[in-house]
Amino acid sequence: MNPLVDDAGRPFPLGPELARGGEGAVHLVPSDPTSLAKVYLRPLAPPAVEKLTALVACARSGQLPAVAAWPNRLLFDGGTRRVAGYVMPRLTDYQPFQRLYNPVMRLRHFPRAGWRSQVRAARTLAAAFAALHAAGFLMGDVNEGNEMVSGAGEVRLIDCDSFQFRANGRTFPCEVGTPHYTPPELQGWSLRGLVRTENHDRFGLAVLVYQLLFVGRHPYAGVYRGPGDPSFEEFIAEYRFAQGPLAHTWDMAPPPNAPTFDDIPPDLGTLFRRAFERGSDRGTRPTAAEWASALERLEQSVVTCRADAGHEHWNGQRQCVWCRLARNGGPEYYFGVAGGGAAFAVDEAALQRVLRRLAAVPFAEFPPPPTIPATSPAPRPLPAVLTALLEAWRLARANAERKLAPRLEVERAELQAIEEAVRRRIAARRRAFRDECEELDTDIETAREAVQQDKRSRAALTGALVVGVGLGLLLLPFGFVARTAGLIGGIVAAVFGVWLAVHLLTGHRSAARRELSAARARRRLANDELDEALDEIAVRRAEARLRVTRASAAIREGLSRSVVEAARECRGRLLHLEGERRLAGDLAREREAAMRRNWTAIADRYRVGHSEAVEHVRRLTAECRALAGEYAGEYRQLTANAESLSRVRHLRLHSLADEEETIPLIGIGRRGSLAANGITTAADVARDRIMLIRGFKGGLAGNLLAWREDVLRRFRFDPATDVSPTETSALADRFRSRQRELLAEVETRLEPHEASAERCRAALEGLVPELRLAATEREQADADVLLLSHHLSSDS
Amino acid sequence: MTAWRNWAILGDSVIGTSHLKGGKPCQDAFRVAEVGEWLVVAVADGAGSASRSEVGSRVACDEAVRWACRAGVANLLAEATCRELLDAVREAVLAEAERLRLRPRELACTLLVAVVGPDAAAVLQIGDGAVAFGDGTGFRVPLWPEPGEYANVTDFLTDERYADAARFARVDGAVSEVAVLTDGLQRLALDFAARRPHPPFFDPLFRQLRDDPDRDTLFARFRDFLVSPPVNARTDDDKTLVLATRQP
Repeated sequence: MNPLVDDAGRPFPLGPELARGGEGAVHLVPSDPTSLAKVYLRPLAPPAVEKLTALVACARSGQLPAVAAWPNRLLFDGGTRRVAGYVMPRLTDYQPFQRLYNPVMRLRHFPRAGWRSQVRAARTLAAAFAALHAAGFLMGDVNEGNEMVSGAGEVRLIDCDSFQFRANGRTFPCEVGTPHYTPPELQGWSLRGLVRTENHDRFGLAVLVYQLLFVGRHPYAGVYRGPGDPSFEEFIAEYRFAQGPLAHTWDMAPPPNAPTFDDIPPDLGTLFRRAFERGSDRGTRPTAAEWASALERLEQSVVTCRADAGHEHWNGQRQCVWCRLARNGGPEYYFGVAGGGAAFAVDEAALQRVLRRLAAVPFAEFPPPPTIPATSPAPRPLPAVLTALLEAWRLARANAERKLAPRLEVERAELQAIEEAVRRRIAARRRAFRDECEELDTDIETAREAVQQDKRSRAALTGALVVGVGLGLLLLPFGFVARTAGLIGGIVAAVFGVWLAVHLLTGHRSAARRELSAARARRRLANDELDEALDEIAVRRAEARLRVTRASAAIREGLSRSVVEAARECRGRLLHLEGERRLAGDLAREREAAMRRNWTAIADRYRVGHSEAVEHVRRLTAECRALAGEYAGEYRQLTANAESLSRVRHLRLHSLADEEETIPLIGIGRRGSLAANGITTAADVARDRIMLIRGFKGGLAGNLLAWREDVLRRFRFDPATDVSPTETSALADRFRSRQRELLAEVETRLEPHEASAERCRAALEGLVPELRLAATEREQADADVLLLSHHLSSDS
Repeated sequence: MTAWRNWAILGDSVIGTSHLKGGKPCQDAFRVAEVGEWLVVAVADGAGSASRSEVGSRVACDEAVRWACRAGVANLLAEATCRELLDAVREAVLAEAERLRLRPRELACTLLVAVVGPDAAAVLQIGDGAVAFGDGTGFRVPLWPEPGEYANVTDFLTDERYADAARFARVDGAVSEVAVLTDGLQRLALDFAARRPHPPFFDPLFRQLRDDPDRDTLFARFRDFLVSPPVNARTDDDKTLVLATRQP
């Protein structure tokens, strides 16, 4: 083959081949990375050249290049100068629609595409068809690969050279087709030379829309309850649409594990019925514009499931259809679509911020409570009443004293006179007594001498008498000699004895003794008389004093009663006031002391709170950092059993209702029987279960099991995506929320910590006025007490 | 005479004519303390039969107010706290008797404690006397003075059975006026037949207290009232009256 040249004759070098089909190969264009070149393998027939030329001519017109990878330049064989291919825009990041509607492919190629994005893609596709149809073009060969969709939801139609259109007075038909997208009325017909209608194109569009909305199911794939095992093309040809209220009349039921008409708005259901039910061949299929507007309405009424953010559904259905299907043992069509499985990581930046803030909080030192300087206030004046009372008392006392003074003067003089008189009388009396005593003493002396004299003469007589008696007694013994001598002796002894006896007996009754006794008695009498006289004088004096003082006592008594009453009242009141002021002082003192304690307590609380807060915040940040290790551990546990779960999910996604799953000898009829026995996906395929079903022996069961094995072979475990994103994201969310909680706790601790010094300062400052008030009250009370005590001591 | 803040307060103890004749001092005592919005009033009436009851009543009033301020006046709304106060006051009186080497009964006195807060008030009472609370519309006496078994026989703080004799009452609701009086004024201030305060006694006194700003003349007039012949004609006992009204 010759090198290619462009329409201007310049050489057009080709890049590496990307793909090769039945009629041509697609190459990169080295000079323009945004374009691709399609080169036909065989020289084109003239009509094909004409079609291409007309097509390229339309490239600059209208909005077609915006909806299709429209051929924009022709390429020529450098040697023959015949059309050999064309240049078209290169669609980077676009993928075939199949990858979006097929759940297995979608999860791989569009892992974050929820149902909403499929609705949107359907709407954009319909809009593209509408634009195409409006421009007079038909897609013709609608199939799963001719429509491309980007990750952003943009749609481009490709394979434009097979479009059907009219130009230059003739129709360029589309002579290729794909059976599953071919309308019933064309099933089994030859496509060669067939001129399609827009109604045919609308069928293909409707199938794609249906597939996008119904997890990739074909509209005619359902549960068949009729006889035989017809082919899928026969199903299409017989209008056996699997949905709708009348489906049972043509032995059909919706496929298992798929949404039904209950899960889409009724107007869309109506559109599908108009597209797929018998009679749709009469040109009544919904136009692309109709689809576009209905889908736009649906798009606006799609809501996100509360249980799983990857589940999106029509809000006309209260229940989430995807949750319902999964709950009933069906596939998890949107497994992990919500994503968010971003791994958990400790927010080190936030922690650093926290620690910086913590370090920035200084520790404040607070002084001890201030000593309020002594103001030494003046004592408050006494209450007017008390002052008046005190004054009245003093006045009364002074008054009484004034009245009493002259009287007391007289009294003092009188008393002095009395004393003087008494003193004189006593002196006179004593003088008389002394004179009398002198006389008496002389008498006594004289008497005493006489007594002595008398004593001496009597002693001489006594001696003579004793001698006489003795002589008489001497004569007695002579009585034995001479009686007379004895007689005379006896008489003499007797006479002198009697005389002596009389003399002795009368001795102290002598006159001299009597005289002495009498003198002594007179002396005693004089003494007694003096005492009596002095006593009498004393009594007289007392009587006189009493007489003198009685009058002033009466005056004093009269005057003092009012003074005493006033004094008692004053004293009571002073005592009350003093007690009251003393108590007030004590209370103020106690209040002051309490406030000083309070001050210290506040400062202590701040100090303790400060270190506690630092400690607490440090502990919380450490706890926060420790989350990383905990998370890693839990994540390992999560992946441990993820593979087996993932395998089951993979099997479940491969549905027997999917006509693209080809299994030898297992057609639509047999699939219906399997569905009736609860076998709808590869996960349900098990030898024991299949062998119980009538007619599924040997080969058929073997085919099914082989299919299951094939599906399993296609399973690849990828921990990054197959560990349940819901679970990983739940795990990460849990850790994120714990981190959030910890950081929030840090905040609740840090913020008051930052303000604590200021708060403490404010609290302490708030105490100062109270402290000052208490101190002032204390000082005032002390001054008052001092004054009152003075009054009390001076006026008592 | 402390400075008035939230309350206008007027109080006096006047010696009775019989005490004057008998040469006895005034045996009544009273103390008042304002603590923020709260007011605590203590009044004691020394027993006439006791030799130094004027000391007992003074010590009792001092200690009652001191204890109340220390324990927090608001806590006295609880009966248990009031009874603790009673124990403490009795203890103080007994200690004073000990100090003076007297038998406790020589310091015998009654005790009335009134505590008034923003929306509640309480009375603790042992023996004669009365506390009246007013809310601006009328007065009521939460604890009606019960005459003793015999005339002139009442309960005293120094009695052994003081705890049984003590009574407590709590009044909920705003109280704007308080009057505390000893038994010398009981017959004048209370209508025993109807068992209710005698409004003609209280109304003029409180009106003066509210309206007269000059405290000296107010006090003089108050004292003149207490020693006036009509009052003395009805009682020869010591008499104490403390009035307080919340300042607007």
